[in-house]
Amino acid sequence: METSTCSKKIVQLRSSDGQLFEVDEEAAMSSEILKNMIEMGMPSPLPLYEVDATTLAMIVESWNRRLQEKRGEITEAELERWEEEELLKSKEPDGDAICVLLAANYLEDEHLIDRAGEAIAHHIKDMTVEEVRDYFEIENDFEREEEEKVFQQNAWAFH
Amino acid sequence: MAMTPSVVVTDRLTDLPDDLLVNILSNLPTHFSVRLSVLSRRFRHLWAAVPSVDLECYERSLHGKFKSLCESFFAGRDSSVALLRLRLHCGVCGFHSGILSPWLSRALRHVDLHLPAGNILSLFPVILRLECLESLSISLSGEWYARYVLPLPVPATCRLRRLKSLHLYGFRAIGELLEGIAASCPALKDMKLVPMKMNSLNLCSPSLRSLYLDCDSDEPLHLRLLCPSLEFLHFESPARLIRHYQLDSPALRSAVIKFGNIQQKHVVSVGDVIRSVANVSELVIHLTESEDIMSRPNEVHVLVDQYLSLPKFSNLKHLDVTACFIEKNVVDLISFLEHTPVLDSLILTHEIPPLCKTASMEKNLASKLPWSTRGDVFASFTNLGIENKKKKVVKLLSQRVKGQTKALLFKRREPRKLSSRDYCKLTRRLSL
Repeated sequence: METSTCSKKIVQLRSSDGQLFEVDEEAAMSSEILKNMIEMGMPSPLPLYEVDATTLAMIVESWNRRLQEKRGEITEAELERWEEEELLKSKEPDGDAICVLLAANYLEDEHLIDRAGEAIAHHIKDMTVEEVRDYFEIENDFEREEEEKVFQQNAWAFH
Repeated sequence: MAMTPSVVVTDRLTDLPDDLLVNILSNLPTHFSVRLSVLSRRFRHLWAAVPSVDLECYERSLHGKFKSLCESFFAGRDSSVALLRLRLHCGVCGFHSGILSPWLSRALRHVDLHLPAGNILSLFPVILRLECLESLSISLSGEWYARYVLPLPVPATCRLRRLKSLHLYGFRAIGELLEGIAASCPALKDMKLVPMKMNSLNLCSPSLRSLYLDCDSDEPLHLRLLCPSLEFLHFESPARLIRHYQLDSPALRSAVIKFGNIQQKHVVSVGDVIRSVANVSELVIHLTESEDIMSRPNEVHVLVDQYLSLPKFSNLKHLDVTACFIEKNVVDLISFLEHTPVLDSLILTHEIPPLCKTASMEKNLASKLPWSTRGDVFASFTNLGIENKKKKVVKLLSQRVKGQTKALLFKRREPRKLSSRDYCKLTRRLSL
């Protein structure tokens, strides 16, 4: 790990598709996995087998912003706005929020897991059940009678 | 990076483990996550593992159904999963208290209740012992007159050591309760209070960062806020005498001050509050003067106290003032601007006080703000820090001010010699 003149430590991360990223060690500590790797002294670059470059770029950016907020360089409101608009816009079929959620889960970043979960929930909360099914491309694997039974049991939620 | 195509049924959620799905569901209203049980086998029982409840009912006709809905939900829920969030809004009638108290699990972190007074009273002591609680919002529903006769019991033991956010709506005379809570909650950062008939508030909280106070009473208020970390203050009230006023908040960054129906006797208190926030960088002021003052407008100055000089607002960058911008208020605003050395943006909105909207009064209360494409009821200026821009704005503001007043504006102000009448007023004010 290199030490810059401001004595800020940098770590190198490698995404699943081989791209390298540099990030402040302090920022990377948002992830429990990375925190453990750094404390164990694993050599750079730290491999992240399940996070692709696009998602990792966004996540590194979010860590940097969180660090800025912690240091008082930006306000909490500005951080939240960036997270909503840039990080978690889940209108695309590719589903940024879902990718972020998966990556955050792999990296064990509690804050990001919660934020991504909130964003996905926010996006689906006004949908009907069928619309949610289409959005997530979920296949209905119920038998007809089974589905009826579930519907009866939970009928109270449909009124 | 390629996904294996041999997986038979994949959807966008296949890779998400169940506990992440439950995490998503916990942000949704409960009835919604229960409806998703028909999506697929995987979703059938997920709702039962969601550690949060979010149920609401505001319609009287649906209340019976709502009660049985709540009971069915709790019966079907996986009781081994501790409840972390509870939001229950029932705007109509209450529950039998025996039904509600089991819902208050010890692990609860967020509680948001809108219930009748009877339910709240019986649940409150239990709520105060929820040690994991991080946010608490309680609002009273039911007939409006009930709100005026409900004092809360002062907590003997309040164990909310992790409480960060507290919102209370509709409670009467809760000053003492709040003092007790603030003293026992070392992590309290944000408070929002919409109290009824509160006459005294003595708040000491080293951790409080944001305070929102929206009062309904015009009776005198004893107000002491010793909150050294306070960054944001919202104070809204019908105009009232504020006694023993103390605001000790060097970290204050932003303030909103709203007074309604200001009469002559209130001017001192309005001035005290405005002067106390001189260290902010953002200030919103909304002053509504009474019919009495407006019928003799040039006698009483509200925006700028005529007896005590304004402090310098050395950090003020953004100022937003809503008032009835007749001539005296434009003149007072211009004096105010002399005390804002680093001001960058200014927004002015003209508003005729609601009680003065009679035909005869309205024509005397026309706006004297400068004309723009949006008429003369709104004016907005930016980049006042750029050389001479502020001077130009002051000149623009004074355009519609009549000759004599204009001369007064640009005359250097000497400190006034106190007449015996002024002296009496001051001594009376200092002894309050």
